[in-house]
Amino acid sequence: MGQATSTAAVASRAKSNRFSNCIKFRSTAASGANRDYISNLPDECLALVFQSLSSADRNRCSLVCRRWYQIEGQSRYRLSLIAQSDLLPFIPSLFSRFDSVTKLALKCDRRSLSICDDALVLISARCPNITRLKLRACRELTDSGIQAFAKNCKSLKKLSCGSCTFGSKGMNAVLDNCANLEELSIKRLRGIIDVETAAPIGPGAAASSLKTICIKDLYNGQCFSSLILGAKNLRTLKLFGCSDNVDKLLQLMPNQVTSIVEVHLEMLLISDVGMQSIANYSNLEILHLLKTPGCTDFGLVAIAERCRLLRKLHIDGWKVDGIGDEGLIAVAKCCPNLQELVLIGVNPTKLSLEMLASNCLNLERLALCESASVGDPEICCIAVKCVALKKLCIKRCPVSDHGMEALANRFPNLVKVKVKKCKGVTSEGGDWLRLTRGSLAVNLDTGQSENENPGVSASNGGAQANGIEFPPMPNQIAAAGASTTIASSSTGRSVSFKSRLRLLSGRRLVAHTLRRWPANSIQCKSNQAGGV
Amino acid sequence: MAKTPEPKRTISLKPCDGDVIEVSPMIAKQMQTIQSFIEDDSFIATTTIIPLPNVTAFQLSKIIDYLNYHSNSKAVADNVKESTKKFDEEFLKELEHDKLKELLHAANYLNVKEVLDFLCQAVADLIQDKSVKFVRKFFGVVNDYSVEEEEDIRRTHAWAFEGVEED
Repeated sequence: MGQATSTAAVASRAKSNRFSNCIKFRSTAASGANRDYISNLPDECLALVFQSLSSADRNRCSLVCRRWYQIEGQSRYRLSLIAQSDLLPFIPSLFSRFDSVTKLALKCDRRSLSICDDALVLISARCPNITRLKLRACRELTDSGIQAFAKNCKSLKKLSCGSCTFGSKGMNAVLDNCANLEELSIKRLRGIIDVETAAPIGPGAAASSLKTICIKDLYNGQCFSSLILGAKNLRTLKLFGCSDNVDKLLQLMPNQVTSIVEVHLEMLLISDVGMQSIANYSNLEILHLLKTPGCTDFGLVAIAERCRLLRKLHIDGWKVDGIGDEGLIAVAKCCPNLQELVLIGVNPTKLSLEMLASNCLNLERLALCESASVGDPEICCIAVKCVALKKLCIKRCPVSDHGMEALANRFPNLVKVKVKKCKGVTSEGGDWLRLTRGSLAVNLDTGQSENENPGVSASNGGAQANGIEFPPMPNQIAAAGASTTIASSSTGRSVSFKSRLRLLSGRRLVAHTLRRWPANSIQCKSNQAGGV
Repeated sequence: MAKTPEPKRTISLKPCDGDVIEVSPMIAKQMQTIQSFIEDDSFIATTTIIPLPNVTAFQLSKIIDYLNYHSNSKAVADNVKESTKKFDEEFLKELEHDKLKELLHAANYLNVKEVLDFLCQAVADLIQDKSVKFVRKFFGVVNDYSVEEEEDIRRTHAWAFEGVEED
């Protein structure tokens, strides 16, 4: 956006305009006489301008005059509405104003009563061309509303729903009707209460179109096993915080789903057995293993040895020390394409870091967070060998100003460095770094605010699922209804908390892992990629 | 390049207020309006001068300037990106707001996608986060809403849309 709208030196530059010298022109010829002509930009141009504006700006533009209102409405493809129950009477007028919408977001907040089935049915009847639908906390929607929607909007390509209460019937209706569905993202779907009686969720008509499946915070995630196994062209699988053991699913996958290139696993029960199964995907390029305490070096070695195309690797070892030098050395030996490496709570020593630095010649982004073993000597050692490195992030590691010196003098291609909460690094060290390498973007804090947000976590990739922030609503729904929703939602969450805890302890996971759960890391609102 | 004989290497364009400007076929081709002239059977490159009654010499030269620069820097290296960005910024700096809007008209008339996209983005940058009043004034648009109508739309905006801030 920074197209420099206001800058000095305009006058001096104007002289150097190569054309003003060689072509004679009367610059004011058209401007005065044709005022009207000029004020009325052609429709297509206006639509083009609108396309670059945010929805808030677009709303303002629609207030400029009737013509703008009309053009803005017709050229709006992406619409985001507050999905409270009193939206219903406005739907006809809203959707005749915006008759080209293909990407629709309906977001409610927890305290409000959401739209009901009628509203969704009405919308789907008016916008049969919707290709993307995002639902957030639309708790009043039931299976039948989703079913009707799926029948009306068969060209749906992307569905993302969070904190909704419909269940497997609704899911199946979407999968059966929308044969072009490519991306499915489900977070906290509360409609599948009894796993035993719920109908299995199958891939339906979307079996060959599905490319990405993301499942997050479900405690009946196993309902989706048949869906995942049936999506034969699946490329990306993301599982977060589901309470069942995923080893079994992963073991079955390679026989049925063959083209996986990206796997994200976070807060899951998975062991080396599952890892070995992932190793079957020889085209795997992106792997995130975050807070999966069951994974050890053994599993990582298996993956490194067989997935040689690996480009991005994120590991949050949760300080369990399951993964360390051995696994990383295998990565260094076998994965020459590695571009991005994020290590959180992993304790690599000089041994593995040096090998990674000298073998992975394409390594451009590196983040080392909460690693007790990464100090100045380690930084110096990668500094010497990591020639391609462009971005480096160090967080909560025992490095000091001495390490900053290595940063300043080595790393020929470094453009951005972030040093956070490293007690040994002083602001002088940072200043010195800025001074010595002026071209480097240095982002440094010196470890004061210790207690905020300890859960550094690599990007969980479910970017769309992360952005659920509800703006303040001008029209709140009656307080009575609101309070009940709060109550139910909060119990709902604490139950899932406990059930996960119980589950983990049942599997006899390492004791100190458990102690970490309540320490607000469970919500793991992931910081972007630990800064990479 | 096809082996068609090219009798003349440039295309002659006559803006409404100045002398004929010669442009290379490469550049002319990017102006859809000119392109349709050239494709016409009666077009003879050596003699035909294409009149452009809706475009001033200044506008035409600006557009040619932009196309020239961008077709010469198609190679994508980091420093090329940088200098292109710089060129774009300079290009806009030299334009007052009225000129920018006029140029947008000219680009639209000539139907040059690359310039059109660029200028629309520039206009969008200028009006983003601005009040309705500012935008009306900027474009010289007269408000044709009744007070009630405007209030009505504002009410809808206030609650039906996500992520809307106050003016």
